[in-house]
Amino acid sequence: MRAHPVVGSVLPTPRDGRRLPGVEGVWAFVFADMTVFAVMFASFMIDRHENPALFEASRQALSLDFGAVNTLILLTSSMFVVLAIDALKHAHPRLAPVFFALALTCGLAFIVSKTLEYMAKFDAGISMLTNDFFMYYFIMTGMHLGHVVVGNVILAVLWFKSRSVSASGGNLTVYESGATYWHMVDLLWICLFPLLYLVR
Amino acid sequence: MLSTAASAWGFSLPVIAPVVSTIAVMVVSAIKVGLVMAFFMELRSAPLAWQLTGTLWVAVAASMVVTIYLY
Repeated sequence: MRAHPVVGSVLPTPRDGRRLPGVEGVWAFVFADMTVFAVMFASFMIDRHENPALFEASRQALSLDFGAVNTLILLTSSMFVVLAIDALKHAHPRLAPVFFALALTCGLAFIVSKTLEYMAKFDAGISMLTNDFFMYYFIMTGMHLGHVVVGNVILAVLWFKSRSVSASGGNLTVYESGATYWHMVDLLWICLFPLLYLVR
Repeated sequence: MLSTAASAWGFSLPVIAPVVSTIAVMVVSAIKVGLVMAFFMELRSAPLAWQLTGTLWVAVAASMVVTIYLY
């Protein structure tokens, strides 16, 4: 049976010195989810290949600034999660809730930013029925936004749990699993941003 | 963060040819994804099988997008 590392403890190192953060099930889910998105990326590129003029004209209707700022928001949020996990690993659990709260704030900022972007599109009369590009845009960013909402719930739970953790207690695996999910959300946006906003 | 700024506002300048810009953007994105996996997700110290899975995903996703774009 696999022993779970605890907060502030020296992490158990297998014989080969390699260790997977969190639980394997979360990683299996992460790679399965990323594969679903990869299939959508391929589908988007195939349809783009068939009608490049339409996709390019539609792409120019997107706000590059919104997309880039959203990328920076998620990267910053991921960095705060890394700092929170680092604080838990190195017996500074009092810092962890601060970093989780900052990560959660960034996550909420992403939702607000994305909502404003959607509202601007709807105000301009653009919806997922406008054309193929916007169908992909709304489906892929909408699915990603769903992941962000779930990620925010996870971050809120981790923030709440980390408030009561002591320097010598608590299951680190739970935090690492939540962090892995949140990093996947960041990673998917890093792929979506160039695909939708930058490919010319 | 710098690569995001470069990708968003630098490579999108009209003076850069679309093919060059797109390939550059995809390469930068693949590197960023690799870095997130290695350092944020800590795959660099994970068992080899998981590390290879991560590397494979980045390689397949990036090459697939670039190949379809260039085809």
